Amino acid sequence: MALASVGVIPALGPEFLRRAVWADDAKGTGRRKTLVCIFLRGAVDGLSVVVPHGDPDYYKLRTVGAGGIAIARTGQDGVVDLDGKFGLHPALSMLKPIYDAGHMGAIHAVGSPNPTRSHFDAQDYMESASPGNKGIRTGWLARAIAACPEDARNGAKISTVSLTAQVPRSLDGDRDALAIPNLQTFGIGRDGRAMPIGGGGKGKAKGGAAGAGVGMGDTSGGFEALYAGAVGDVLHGAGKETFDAVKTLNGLDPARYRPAKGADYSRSPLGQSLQQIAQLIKADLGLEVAFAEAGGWDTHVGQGGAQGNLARRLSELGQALAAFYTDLGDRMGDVTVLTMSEFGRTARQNGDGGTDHGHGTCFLALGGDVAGGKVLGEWPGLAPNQLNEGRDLAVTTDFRRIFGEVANKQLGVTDFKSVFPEFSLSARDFRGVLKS
Amino acid sequence: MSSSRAKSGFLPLLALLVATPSLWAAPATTKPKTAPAAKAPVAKPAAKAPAAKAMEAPAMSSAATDDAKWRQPLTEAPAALHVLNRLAFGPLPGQVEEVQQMGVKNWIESQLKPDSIDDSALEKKLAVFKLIKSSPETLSLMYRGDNNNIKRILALQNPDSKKRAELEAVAAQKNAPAENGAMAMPAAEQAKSRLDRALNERQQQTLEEFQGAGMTFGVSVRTAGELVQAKLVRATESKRQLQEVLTDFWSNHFNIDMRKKAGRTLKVLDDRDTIRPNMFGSFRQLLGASAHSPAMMMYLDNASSTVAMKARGGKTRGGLNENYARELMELHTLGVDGGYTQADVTEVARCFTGWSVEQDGGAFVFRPRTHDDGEKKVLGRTIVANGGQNDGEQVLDMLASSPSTAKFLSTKLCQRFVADEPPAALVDRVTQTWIRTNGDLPSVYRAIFLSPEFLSQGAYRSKIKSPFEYTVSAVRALGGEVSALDESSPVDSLRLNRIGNISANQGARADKKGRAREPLAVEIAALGQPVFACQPPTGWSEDSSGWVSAGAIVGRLNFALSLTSGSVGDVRLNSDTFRAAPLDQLSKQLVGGQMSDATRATIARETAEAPNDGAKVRALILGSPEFQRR
Repeated sequence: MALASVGVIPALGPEFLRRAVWADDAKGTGRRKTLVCIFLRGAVDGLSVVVPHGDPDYYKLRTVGAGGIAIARTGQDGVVDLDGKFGLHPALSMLKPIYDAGHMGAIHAVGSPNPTRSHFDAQDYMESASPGNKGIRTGWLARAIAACPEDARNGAKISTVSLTAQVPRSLDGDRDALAIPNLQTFGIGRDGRAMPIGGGGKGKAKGGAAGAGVGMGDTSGGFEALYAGAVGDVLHGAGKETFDAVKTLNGLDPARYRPAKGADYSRSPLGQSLQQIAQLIKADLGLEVAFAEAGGWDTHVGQGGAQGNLARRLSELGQALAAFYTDLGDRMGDVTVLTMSEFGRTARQNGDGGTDHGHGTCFLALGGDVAGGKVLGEWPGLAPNQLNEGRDLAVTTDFRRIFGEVANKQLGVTDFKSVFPEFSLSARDFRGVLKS
Repeated sequence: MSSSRAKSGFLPLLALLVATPSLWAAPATTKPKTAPAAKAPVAKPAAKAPAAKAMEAPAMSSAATDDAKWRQPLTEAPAALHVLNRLAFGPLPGQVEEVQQMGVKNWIESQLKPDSIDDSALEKKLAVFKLIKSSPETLSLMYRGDNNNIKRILALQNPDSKKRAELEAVAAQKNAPAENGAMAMPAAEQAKSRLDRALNERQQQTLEEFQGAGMTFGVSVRTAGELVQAKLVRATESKRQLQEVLTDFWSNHFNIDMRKKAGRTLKVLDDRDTIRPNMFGSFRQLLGASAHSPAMMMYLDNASSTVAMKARGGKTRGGLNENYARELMELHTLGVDGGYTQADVTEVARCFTGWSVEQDGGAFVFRPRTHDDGEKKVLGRTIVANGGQNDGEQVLDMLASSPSTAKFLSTKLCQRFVADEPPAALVDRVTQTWIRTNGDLPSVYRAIFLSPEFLSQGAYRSKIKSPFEYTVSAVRALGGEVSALDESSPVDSLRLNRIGNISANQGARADKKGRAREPLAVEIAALGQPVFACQPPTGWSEDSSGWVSAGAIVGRLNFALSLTSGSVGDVRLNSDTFRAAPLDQLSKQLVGGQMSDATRATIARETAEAPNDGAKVRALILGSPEFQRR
């Protein structure tokens, strides 16, 4: 299905062709639809991601220029206008072609009904999709995966991956979820500093590690047996996953991965995470859900405007997303990327040229099935009487309406009650993020 | 669900399953007993075998068998091993026997009085670390002098600089016809303005002071490296082990991420002058020290929180920053369900306006001019106007003496020292002790360490080691040593730089290493918990159940291989360490003889061909499930 691509925009191909390929592949090769969730930890300032430059109150709350954090309506450092009312932060300009191609949309004024301003609590509530209730120990993604139609995991070698050191709260309870901070060093004795696996070949110890002659070449098998023997122990399950995954990923040789069409993810941690997710998707291992995260959004001080701290973070985010889109090309037809963050920030800039913990924020969605080219959601306005508690962007879309829609349309989940036990959700509540 | 549990909201319920192997082994029999249906985790479709921890609505520890394990005392040898695993960073070779000889309770008592233990050998070794003995002024200057703008500008002034040549090329385009004009022009402008830039007056002055003090670029990173390395040396070698474990606990409780601004040098003060001298007094004393810690004021942005002030042209400058006020209540004292509101957060933030850090001095300072002198109302109590710095002190008094704080901290300490899901009866007793003694920390420690639950089967080997505990306990078990590093030696200096970068620099990532002979601190970072660099103000969770995942185990196995092959750059192991030895002896030395039959059989099989390969058998034991527990 090699289709011509023009410029930076991959041609996703006619819908019918894509569907046909999908139907064929779904039978066994492991190619399937993938949901990629990116958690922006620390509460991203949604008003700077998609800037409401058409709302005059925006420029009353924030100033443009030295010390100010507003983005001008026009000019070199101005917004990248989307629809006359909203515009992308200039550091996200690389996403504009994707938006124009209809493959990216934004949902504004999204958030939680719970008023907490604690990062810790708000992340917990968002990841468990249970605002206000800490009694739910499983993550929403874990429950969504469990509620997928039965065929979804058939033949999958690696169905759920988190590019983090530990399994995130969102996936808590999914026994198959693998937390891998970096595919390149995932393996036993493979990271170039210890013993080679299987007695030689790949991943030989560099730099003359002392003890290289000790003969531990096949220690990996020994470890595997140790964890296999730990029946009845919490470590047994984690051990089995470990060795299965190592075997699968050893075959991928991630160090040699070259993104397609010269896509440049940048060296940022998020860029590297997305590059590895792209590789897993292309390897047809049956990847269903991938999770990545990026920090540095808690901009209390010196947030900056068109340039500065937040702009640097946004440009890393934009570059990673754009590279992912370019790299996957027509495979984006099977992929939906959703960004999320625990809450937004105060509408008014604070005394330190930053913003404090707020309420509503902005999510982005990318993918072939995204009903893009639009800023979705109801705009609550920024006039004093429209602000939440007189200080923050109000929430007009409960984040579970977005989670529910992607779970439904991307993962095939229909049992909403099992995913959102305390929230009444039906297809009528969807925001139209994805095509039906 | 008992109301006290429900209210605390702190105990992760699934931890029970982890802490209780019998329940874990047979999840199907563990049915929710009292959890209301609406709050229970959602059942998954039966078609897919769900994970036990996802599926099982957590049962409260009400089952009779569960209670019994907290009443079943440990015999002497396991008790000695247990206290060394919990109140120390694991046993040294032969230390279990030493503690047994001394008597477990006597050992605990002696550890509770660290000054009574001779630690002069360690002190001698630590003398090499000179940067971390610096004054606040010097530490502040280190950070300011290492300012990247100064470095960049100076670098561009060098005519041989590659970057300069690049910029000159870009700037030259300014006069060339632009191909896609709109994009090329500003880049050329920027390049030109960067080339033209000189140090401003303040930067010039900082540079002169910096060089005048004999400092060289990178000193702030090497200082961070020293702080991390000193922690590792102490954890492996100090005889005052409990002091080191408690420092680790409190430093994590009052978390400061070194990567934020001057944290890389100011954290030195927090470790040296805030946490260490105050862990054996009252909680109020420790809390007060933390509130006066320049690193804390900076990390949680209180240093720049002020009353809104009038500026020229009718504008206002400054303003409130609520970050410290919120975390002070949520994380340091009351706990998130401790009964405060957003209004309390704002009022507490007003009380702390003016609590700041000297701009160039690095020390704590109270600035009366930026303090909000109005009346405040905190947790229902009025704080009268014009209280100055005393406003904040009053808030600290209120928070330190609150029963919510007693409960929150008692629970967290029990979770650290006893079990991920500590028995409610113990938590209640410790909370009562806290309230009765007004938060006298040694009394609280005693209430935990001398409780029957602490020395019971319920607690024994129920926790998974954190990355720090895992690596340090492995070095100790092998009788290894972490090198002290001398900044004045070029080789050590490079290594300090690497260690400091891992903890102090946003961009440095341990999983990018792929180098042989990385230092121990880099190994720890690669396992997911870089020392002094936990990003959220929460610190690392004390619930160890989240620390085992496939990625985590791979990292641990790799560490076991690196360590036993002598590939951890700054760990020195005696070559005798790798002599062949009977498995029984190694099992005793490394896992206190607590080796399962399955593990024993596996290791025997794996080493059958090379029975004299002492390194391999030790690698297998250190990587085994048994060694992951403490």
